[in-house]
Amino acid sequence: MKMYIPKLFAAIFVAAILFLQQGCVKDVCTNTYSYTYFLPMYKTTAEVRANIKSNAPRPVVNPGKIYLKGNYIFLNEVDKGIHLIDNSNPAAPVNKAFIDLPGNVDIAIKGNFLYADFYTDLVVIDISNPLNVAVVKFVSNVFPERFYYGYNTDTSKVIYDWVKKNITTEMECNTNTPVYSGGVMFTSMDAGLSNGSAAGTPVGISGSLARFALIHDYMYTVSNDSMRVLNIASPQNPVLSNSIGLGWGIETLFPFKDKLFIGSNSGMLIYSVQNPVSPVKLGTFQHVRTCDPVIADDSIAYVTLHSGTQCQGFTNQLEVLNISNIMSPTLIKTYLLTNPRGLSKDGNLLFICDGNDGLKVYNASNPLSIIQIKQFVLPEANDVITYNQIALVIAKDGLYQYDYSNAADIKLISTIAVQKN
Amino acid sequence: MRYFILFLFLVFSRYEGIAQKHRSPVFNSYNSIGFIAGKSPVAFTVQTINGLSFNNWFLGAGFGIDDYFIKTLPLFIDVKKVFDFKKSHLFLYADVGSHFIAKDRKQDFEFYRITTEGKLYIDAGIGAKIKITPKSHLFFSLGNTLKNIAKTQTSEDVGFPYKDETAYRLSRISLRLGCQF
Repeated sequence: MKMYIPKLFAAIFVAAILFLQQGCVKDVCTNTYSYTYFLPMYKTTAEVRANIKSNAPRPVVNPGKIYLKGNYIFLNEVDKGIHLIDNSNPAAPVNKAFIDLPGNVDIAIKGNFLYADFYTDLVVIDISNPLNVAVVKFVSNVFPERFYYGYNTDTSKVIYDWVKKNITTEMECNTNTPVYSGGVMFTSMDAGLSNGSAAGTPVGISGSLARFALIHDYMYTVSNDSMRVLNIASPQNPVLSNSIGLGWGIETLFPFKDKLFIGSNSGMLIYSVQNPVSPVKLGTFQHVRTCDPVIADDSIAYVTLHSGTQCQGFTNQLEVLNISNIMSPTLIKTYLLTNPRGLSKDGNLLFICDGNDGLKVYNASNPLSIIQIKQFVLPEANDVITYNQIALVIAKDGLYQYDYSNAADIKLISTIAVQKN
Repeated sequence: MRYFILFLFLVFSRYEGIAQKHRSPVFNSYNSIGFIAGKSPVAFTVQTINGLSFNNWFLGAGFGIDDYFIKTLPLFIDVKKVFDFKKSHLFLYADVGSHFIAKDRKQDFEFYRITTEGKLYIDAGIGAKIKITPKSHLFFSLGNTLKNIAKTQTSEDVGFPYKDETAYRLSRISLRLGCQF
């Protein structure tokens, strides 16, 4: 046996050499990269502006923020325009028209005038007849941050649509990641609505995710890092009056009486608009870094914090703040939730869109002990407006309306479905 | 490859078919430690294969640790054909199965998630056994082993959704030393 051991070792050694020589040893790595690419489609500015009118209704595909005014729901189709939905009968809303408005994300309404962003510009639209709206004015460069640098140097053209392209590339590893050129990784703006605390009349009602707010003769808009003040004393002729730096991470704007509650991803800011042209910061409340719409009443503010790829952070909760001392808001209670987003309050009822948990309705008569009384499971419930005993909820798959005139028997009364891509 | 086939032919042309056949299935256990070498750094491996021998065939199930590139835990079916010589035994073996990632199969980051999955696992080669006690053998083996790994990075960020899939096909040689009883 002693003689065989060296021979076996030798045989194995020879075989190992042969393996190596024959290329049996190699690490192969292939990389498949899939991404969605959005290619901008251009029209001349004149063409796009001419098409800002009440066109034929279109299916809701990618709903954004929502605004309620009179019998109409104005539902933003992210970056495409605005659906006009006749809600005279909430049990049977009718999609009546669509205003083509590329680059639109936010809406506000005062009287018969609708204010909307149109990429970098603000457009004023007369909606006295929703079925025949008319552009009144463009105010240039109100939202300079909405300029898509590098896409087109021809200033006579604007992007009117984005064509979605799904790209898959396969390559050997350790080569460069594909470079995107001529298109963009589409950034959907926060889709959502806002809440009803009508500050000044007759304005519409927005949700808690809104970035436009109206107080009396002024409209306030927030970008990621600043607030702009527009004088709308003459509603058809807004005048940009001021711009105020706020710091990074600004998300939402909620008006209440003479205050603006600003949700940022690191806290809540409170501004006084006693001097409406130059709002003054009164107080802040810092929290962990995450997304946070906010609503408030006289003494209590409700802030929902949610995590997510866009929001960073890992916190999902409702924070109840005592704002009796507006200079120094204090946290008085925290409630753990799943992925809370927009919220609204009507009387003692608190409505919270809690992501895939859907709409949750709470009895908030005691802010220190809110009690869930109802839940409607919806996919990615995003924001809610409460008005006239009707809760409008926007979710991934549609616009829902609930009748809460009887808090003990809140019921779904209508749905407008989102058309799947 | 033709040199390797020639090598096998030369080795097994000396096969004399000496009967050491089991008349009924017998339990055998092959336990080994060894090294796996490839383009990445040499790694440690350990295996245990347990099964039944019958008529110079062995069928068993194996489990082990394969620390090459990413530590994985192979789970496989093993087949051996043993050739008896005067003073020793040579065998051919083939393993087919899958393998499991030992740790960090799913990692959540702020903007994306990485999942790592073990896919196909194959090992095939030759070995030799030398009797050390009446019921146990020392064995060596050399094989060409393959393990496939899929690593997927996904982001569902509404602003930047993507899926980045990387497929590793790691072809290595395995050298093992162990004890069979």
